[in-house]
Formats: sequence, C-alpha cells, structure tokens
Amino acid sequence: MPSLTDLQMRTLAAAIDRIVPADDFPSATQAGCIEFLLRLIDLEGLGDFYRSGLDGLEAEAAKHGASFADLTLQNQDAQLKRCQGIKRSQGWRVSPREFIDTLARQTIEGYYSDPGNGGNRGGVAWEMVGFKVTA
Amino acid sequence: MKFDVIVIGAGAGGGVAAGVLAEAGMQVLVLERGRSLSYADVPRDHLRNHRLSQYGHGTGPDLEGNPRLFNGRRRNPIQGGYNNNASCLGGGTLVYGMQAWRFHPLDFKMASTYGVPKGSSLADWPITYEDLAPYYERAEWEIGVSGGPPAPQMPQRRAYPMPGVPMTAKAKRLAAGCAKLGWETQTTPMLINTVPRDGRDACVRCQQCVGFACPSNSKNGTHNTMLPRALATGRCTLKTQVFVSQILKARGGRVTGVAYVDADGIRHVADAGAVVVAGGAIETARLLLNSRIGGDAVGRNLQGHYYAIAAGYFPEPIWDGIGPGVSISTLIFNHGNEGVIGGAMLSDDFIIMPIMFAKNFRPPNVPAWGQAHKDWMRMYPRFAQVGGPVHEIPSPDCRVRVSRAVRDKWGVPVASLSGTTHPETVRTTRYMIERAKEWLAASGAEEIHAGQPGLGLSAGQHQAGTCRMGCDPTDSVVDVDCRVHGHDNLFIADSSVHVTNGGFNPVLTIMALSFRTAQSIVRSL
Repeated sequence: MPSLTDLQMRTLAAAIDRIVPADDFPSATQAGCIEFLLRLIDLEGLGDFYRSGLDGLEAEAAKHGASFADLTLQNQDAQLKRCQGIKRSQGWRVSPREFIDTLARQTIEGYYSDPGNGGNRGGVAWEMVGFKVTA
Repeated sequence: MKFDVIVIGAGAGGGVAAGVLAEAGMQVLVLERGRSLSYADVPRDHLRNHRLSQYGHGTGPDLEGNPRLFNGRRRNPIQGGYNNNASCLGGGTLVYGMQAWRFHPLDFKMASTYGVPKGSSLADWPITYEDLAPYYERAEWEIGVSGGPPAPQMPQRRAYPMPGVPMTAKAKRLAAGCAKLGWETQTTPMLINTVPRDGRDACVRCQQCVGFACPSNSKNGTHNTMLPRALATGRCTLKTQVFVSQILKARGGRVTGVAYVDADGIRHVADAGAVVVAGGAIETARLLLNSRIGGDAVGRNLQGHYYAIAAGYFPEPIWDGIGPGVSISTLIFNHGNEGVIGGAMLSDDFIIMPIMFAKNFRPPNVPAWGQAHKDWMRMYPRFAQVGGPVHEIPSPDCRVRVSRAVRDKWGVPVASLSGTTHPETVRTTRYMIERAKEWLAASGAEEIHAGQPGLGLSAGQHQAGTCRMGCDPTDSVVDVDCRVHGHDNLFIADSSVHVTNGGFNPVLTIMALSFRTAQSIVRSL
C-alpha cells in the first residue's frame, strides 16, 4: 500500500466525498473508494502524484487558515473547482487541474465499476443507477 | 515435420481457415501468439476488459513487450492509438459483440457507385456480393447466426439457423420511432445461440456481453466452433503463445514456412506447403513488411469505422436488463444518401456498463463530479443510444509501417501507425449522426446529444484494408483468391484484404472470405 500521511489521508477522504457526496446513497468513502484508490495508486505507481496533489490542496486550504478537511463543504467545493481551473501554481508539484481531474475520474471509476474493484461496496452504486448483473 | 499449411493467427479468419483445411484432409499447424483462455480466465472487471481497457484487459496482448508507434509515439496495448484487438485463441471473437452482418452489394462497388473522391483510394472490390454470398451462408450456418429475415435493402437469403434475440423495452420504443418515420427495421443478426445448438447452451441474456467472455458459452466465435472442428480431425496442431517473426521465402516467390519464437524465447522454424496469414490488419501487414514481402501497397489504406452515435433519455425508465441489448437495426441509410458517400447501418447498443455511461455520455452541461454528477448518473435507466459503423472512405496515407527504432520483446520491429482518414468519412459520419438523432427524437427521447467527429485514424477492432484485394500488384497485395501477388502459396485470411470495410461490423465478411480462401487453397494444393 502507498504511504500517505494521516493528513494526506484526511484530505483525500474529504476531497473524494465532494466528488461523490452522500445523499440517500453512500458517499465515495462510505462505498470503499479510499480502499479502491489506495490499491490503484499502488498498482499504477501514482504515489508521488497523489501525495503532491493532496499536499497542494492542503497548502491551498492553509491560505484560508484551515485544513482542507475542516473547511465547510461549500468551501471545499469552491476550492476544488478553483484548483481545477489552474494549470500550474506555485506551491504545487503537480498541475492542480491534472490532479483534480484525475482524482475525480478515478473516484468515479471506483464508485461505478464492479464491486470487485472495491469502491462500489455491495454494489450500492449499481443499485442506485439500476444496473444489475444476472450471470 | 512438414505441414501442408501453416495458419498464423487463430482469430475470426485463421480459425475458419484451420477448420476448413483440416477437414479437407490437410495437416495444419496453427500458430497463435495469445493464450487459450477459459471463461474463468477472462476478467469481469469493469475497468479491465475489451470494452473499457482503462488499466488492462486480460485478453492480450500483454501490456509489456508489445508496443506500437502511433504518429511516432510509443503506445502499449491499452493506450490510445494502439488500435488493439484481443490476442488469444479465437482472437476478437472470444469477447466480441458478434453482430453478423453481410456487407451490402453496393459495399463491393463503392468507386463505381460514387466516384473516387480526390485523395482517397476508394475502389471496387474485384469480387461481388454474389461471389461471397454462398460463403456468408456457410458462416451463418457453421458458426451459428441468430436473427430474422433481411431488411428490404438486402438480397433474399436462406433463413438463419436460429431465431433472433428478443426485443428489449428500449428496442420497442425505437421500433415505434421507426414506424413513425417510415423506416424499415430488422432484428440485429448475431453470432449467438438464442437456442441450444452445437452442443452448447443458449444465451442467458446477461448484461456483460461485448468486451467479456460468455458465461453460457453461447457466443459463437472460432474458439468454440471452427477451431475445435479443426482439432477434432486429428490433423491440426495448435500452438499458443508463439509469435511468428518472419515468413520464409525460397527463390521464385514460393514461401517455405515460417520462423517463430515460443514463450520461452526459443526460436523455431516450421516448414509448410502453404502459409495463411491471419494476424489482423495491423499485425499481418507488419509480418509481411518484416518478411520483405509485397510491394508498396502493403500497409496502406488502414481503416476501421467511424461511429455515428447519438444519445438521449426517455421520459421514464426503459432499462430492462435483457442482454446483449442490441436487437433492432435499420439499413435504410447504408446507401442512397443525398450528398454523401456511403452511409451506415444504425442500431441500438449493448447494455452499457455504468462506468462507461459515466465516461462516454456525460453531456456538456453536467459537471464532472459532485452532487449534480451523482444526480445525472441516476438518469441511467432512461438512457438510450443509437449508432452505427460508417463506411470509411479510405486514404492511402493511413499506413502500417514497421519502426526502425522500436522493437518488441523478441527484437522484432513493431508496427508504426500514421495518417488520417479521408474527409469524406467525416462528412458521412456527420450526416449519419443527424439520422441517429432523428431516430431517437421520433422514438420519444429527449435531451438528445452527440459528439462531433474530427479527422483521425480509425482502425481498432474493425481494422482492415492493409493488404487489399485487387488485380494490379502496384495498388493491391492479394488477388481475387486472397493469394499474395507473386507468391503462389502465400494467402491472407483476415480483414487486411478488405478493399473497403462496409457500413457494417465486418466479422461475418472476414469469416466468409476465409471460407472462400480456404476452399481455393484446398483446390490449389
């Protein structure tokens, strides 16, 4: 498993729960997307990319005097959107846009792909959209 | 041991050739670079399959050691531009969507029907629909096609051996739309057992069809029909995980056999009275080029299909979970379209995996993440798409060459792909997208949307054209019997020989041509 610090893990969890928020169906973390992403990061060699991006998000939040996970949900959304619009930024070792795009894409891959991948625990996302496998 | 015939590649074309040749009494050696895969070997992973190969595919070629170049950039089999097809026993037919179309009679006469647009290599086939019709029938009966009578745009033919797939709830809406528009339809013909046949079960109507192996073994590919028939004769030797690096030539144009490498890297030579190449349009061209066989035409006219697709939502759920999901088609736009060349068959589509819906069908007004994205995903049961393969107008500049610099794990120069299709392909695609939109609108769908095509290279799983059939060795590679010009005992039995690729999925044409080619080999040896 890739080594993320506790802070990086906290930022990751908060961020992906804005990608797929909870409503009457689970959020990304509730459905197992953390486990999905950690495995994917490991398989695809994305450790540095994720660490850099999560540190970037954290540094951005620090400008508002808080940790990303402690921002209001509204401010988390606003920050993710803002970062998604920035190609390059000082204090980021990766492109903010590339990081948010990848984080969103891969979280959604975990949430909506087969339960065997780990991010769609018990097939909750399939239940939500109405997809079923019968054989 | 000297074989009568070596068949290179055990996919749609090679599998058929092996069966016909072995049953005709020949000693046949089949060399397949992929593995023999059981149902359990093929992933049911929605991120690693042949429909969506985001991180892998599990059906070969292996991601390491098999690069290609695309416009000079190195690509592995799951990266864009590689134009992958499954590499395993049965080839693409293990995991394909198995639509079983005959090409339209005019598909063989594109140049004389429409003229040749400047810059394109559009040409008539040197054979006609009527030449191929008896072999289409063999493929339909011997490999096994289900479906109903042909649409009025097609010639009459013998009925298929099996009834068609059932109409889904979505198809019923689309049928009503066609009735309103006055468009004739037909059940989509498929190489699938809709009833038990040939010692195998019927389709269980599951939701993971195209891109996956079949849970009831009712998907009819060469792996479960023609290859077992070849092996049952006792005259077919099958080697998997062996890679043919070169076709060996003698003086005077005859070939003597092939050189190949096994899974351990050990090099072998096999001798034969004739060689049949069936590696697919990219690998067949690569092998000929690496063997210094054929003229300037080898590797040119690489084509596949542009897809004209439109999508929308019905006011209420239409998802009924009945696979494979394709069941209704219209052929009224394959030809005779005002102002464009050729056209396409249009049909509904396979049941789509939710993650593919998320990736490929998000309209521009829906954000990439967040609550609004999650709300949009709930539209899934109301979603429908229609579309079809547009008859490509070929360009001689769409090419397979071999790289000077990049080699595969066995040290063999890899395929290097370049070029873009002819602009007329894009025009026809735009025209067909409008027809797809019309169909959805008449059927009651709303919020209809479609992407717009640009100039690019299409090859993919429908790759074709790189060793085209013709009479003139300066602009074709094989003759009307699919024999390589100047090489009496060297044949090609895959989509490389297609002069154009039809406005249809090409696999039944590959199979039919292979029946015909194998038959002519039997006569000639």
